[in-house]
Amino acid sequence: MILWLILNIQLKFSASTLAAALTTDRWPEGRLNLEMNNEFQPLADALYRERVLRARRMPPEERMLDGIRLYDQAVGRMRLGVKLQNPNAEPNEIERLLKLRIRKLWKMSDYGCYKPA
Amino acid sequence: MFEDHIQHMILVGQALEAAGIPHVLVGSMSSNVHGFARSTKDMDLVVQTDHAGLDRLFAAVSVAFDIDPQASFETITGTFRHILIAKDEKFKVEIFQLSSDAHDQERFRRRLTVDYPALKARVSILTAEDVIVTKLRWARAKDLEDIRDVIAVQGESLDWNYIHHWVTIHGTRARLDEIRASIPKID
Repeated sequence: MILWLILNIQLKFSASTLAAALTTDRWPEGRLNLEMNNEFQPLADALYRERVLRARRMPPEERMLDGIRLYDQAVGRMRLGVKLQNPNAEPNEIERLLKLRIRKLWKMSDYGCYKPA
Repeated sequence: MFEDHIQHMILVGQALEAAGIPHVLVGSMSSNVHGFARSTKDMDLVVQTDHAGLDRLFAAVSVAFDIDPQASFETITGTFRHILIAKDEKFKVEIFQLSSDAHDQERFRRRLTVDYPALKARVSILTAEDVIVTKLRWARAKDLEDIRDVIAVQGESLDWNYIHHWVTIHGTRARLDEIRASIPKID
């Protein structure tokens, strides 16, 4: 039941965010709209509150290191994705494709923020 | 791989310390310290040094990093960005030179220096207030989420007079107020 609610919140949140981005001029392009369907707001607030209280209990250094751990896990999942798409590729080829994918991720993240010197 | 990234960070931290280059950790690592942990693909640093200082730093880390030959301009303050790419090509360090922008100068002056045993170095980080002011200027979707999380986690400890001073100058007050209004009651 809880999983169903969380999934619904995420779906509705994504849909409302996308709809807002397409229809409102309140937030410029690419900006986040933080509104959500009222129906799920109390549960979303409770989940968020729990997350905040958990973060407050963690040492700041640990929160910083967790960011690196999360990235490491994301790279691991990207490697699995590359393997699934290239089931016959040798390990060296998987690593080469993984590095290309990481470079693409960096490029997307930098988009519009920098210009050549 | 996690350990490799940590080793990269230790190397850069120790090289900065050895070269005596004043610095501050910015970007998502800084906001992770004050808010929620989110995936961090790089280490962003603002340094106060000249070209000779940068060359010393680059030489000290060249055992583990390749230097991207193409420097770039950052579009908010117009400062230079240099990229160090780990030799395993899965982690990078972005080095920004301290600009003459008024808030860039002020956030650098207010930086906190903290002893982080895991990094085997004393690390300078932005204050929570300066993370908020900086991210309001960048205002990408991930920045707005980070701002919300930093405000929620820091609670009453934030210096709102300081934040309001800068957001008024930057014209980002409305954006800040909207984010604050979206935060549920925590305490």
